[in-house]
Amino acid sequence: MAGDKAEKGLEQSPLRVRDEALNAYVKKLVCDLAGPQCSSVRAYVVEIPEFNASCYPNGMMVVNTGLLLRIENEAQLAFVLGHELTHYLKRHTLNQYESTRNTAGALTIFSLAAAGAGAGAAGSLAGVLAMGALFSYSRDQEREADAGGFELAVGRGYDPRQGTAIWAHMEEEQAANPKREKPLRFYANHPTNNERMGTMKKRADEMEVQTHAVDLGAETFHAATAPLRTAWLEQELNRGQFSESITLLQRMIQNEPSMTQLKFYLGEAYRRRNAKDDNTNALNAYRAAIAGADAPSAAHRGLGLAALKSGQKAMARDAFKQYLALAPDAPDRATVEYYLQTIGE
Amino acid sequence: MKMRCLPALLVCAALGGCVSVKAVDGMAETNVGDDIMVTPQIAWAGANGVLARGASSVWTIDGFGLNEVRFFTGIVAGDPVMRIPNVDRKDLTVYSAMMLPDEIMELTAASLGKEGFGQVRTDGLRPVPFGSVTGFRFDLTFTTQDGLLMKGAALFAQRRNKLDMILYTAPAEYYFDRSMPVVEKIFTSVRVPDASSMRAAN
Repeated sequence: MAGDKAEKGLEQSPLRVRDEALNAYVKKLVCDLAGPQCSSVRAYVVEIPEFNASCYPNGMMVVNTGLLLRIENEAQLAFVLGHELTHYLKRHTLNQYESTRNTAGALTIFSLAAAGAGAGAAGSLAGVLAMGALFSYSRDQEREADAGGFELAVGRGYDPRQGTAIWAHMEEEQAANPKREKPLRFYANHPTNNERMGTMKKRADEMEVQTHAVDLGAETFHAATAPLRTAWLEQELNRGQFSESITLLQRMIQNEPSMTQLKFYLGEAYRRRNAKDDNTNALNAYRAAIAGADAPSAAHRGLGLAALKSGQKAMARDAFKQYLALAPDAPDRATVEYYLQTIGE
Repeated sequence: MKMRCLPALLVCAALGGCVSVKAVDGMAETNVGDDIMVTPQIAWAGANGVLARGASSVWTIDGFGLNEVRFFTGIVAGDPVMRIPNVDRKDLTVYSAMMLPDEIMELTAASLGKEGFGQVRTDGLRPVPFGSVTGFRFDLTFTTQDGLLMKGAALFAQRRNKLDMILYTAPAEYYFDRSMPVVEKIFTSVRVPDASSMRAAN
């Protein structure tokens, strides 16, 4: 089956995140949710910055780092994984696979999947992505998956209100960038975020949850993901969807106000978007990062760049000098020295 | 090495009539666009149009999409570096004449991401000659959707409020190191006739 070949390629792909602690964490959560079906589902985390997850007819589940970056706690992750598991357990994926196989266009998709899967030692994600194109569920199937994910997550003791939170956050990001097309399969046939929020909130309200009695799993989730977050934030900015990134980072800073790393990346996002007032916002974000105890040296470089763009030469000079003092072996030292030279020391 | 998409791309390009592939003489100084002259050093297969994906021309030794030198020349403010099929222009980060060298590097990384490559990482931005004027170099790595680890080297400069960039990319295993000495010679062979109009970084 093309899915099995694609999975072999995925196992070897450099895009697969190989961090043992994170993989063990996700695997355990998937198993807890899948219950007796645990042994038939295999989860892989891949370094792709878009918000997405998917489960395939052979039990292969793919979780993007862009999803993990946007999730705040284990409860929210349980809702998303539960949703994907429901597609698998209710055989939505298999039914879709069978029906698509009988269509003319499927030949191309299966060819791509098989070809990508046969990429040899280098491994392949192309086959997996091609397979993903097969699964365009109906809205009713998506609603069933939402309901199933809710039951699986709440059944494991997670706060039922966290399902609403995910879609509220995604709605915020989409609102920040309303003109952007949404090419992801994850969105394509899903009910609207507002519909999902309404449905899940109603269900949660009916349960009369006591805040102190529910589990968010925030600490365990943070422990598993925090060591990898810098790389994920770098890739997030490389998406070039800065308005979405700014919305995401503002929310993350609200949740973790002491994290100077997040303030640095907020400065980076503002500087790179470069819209009206963004340079001022970037300067403020870099300054806030530098004020923290564990500010990355790159925050000084960012401050220097933003100051240089706004013609504040003295500030730029001081920031660049501080950067070189903190990172004397920086690989971009010659460029920073070039900036200093153009400013005039 | 199998490049599965290339045959389809070649067929499409040929049917569309919007590309020409021709031999590039290694010894003849060549205008690669926007009056930038380079000496190819060795014989290459050269193309433009669809195969160049937004570049004014692309050269390869072993196959388009495998190991390539792409020449992006005369990019003006408001334009993306690369033109990417199926990606709406408004979703692309565009060049601005006020960009600092760091931002040109970031723009390149974002553009490669939009081309469908993953884990794009840049490093080692440094000033180097671009012909007779100041340009910048940086190194990069990224992963194809086929899971192939790629390496790259970029040389760029801004002049007359336009961006010119030479981007070499190849599989990290074998190909990149094999051809890098030739590419280094291409980089040092750059000649910009009207150097007096070159704009230094802010």
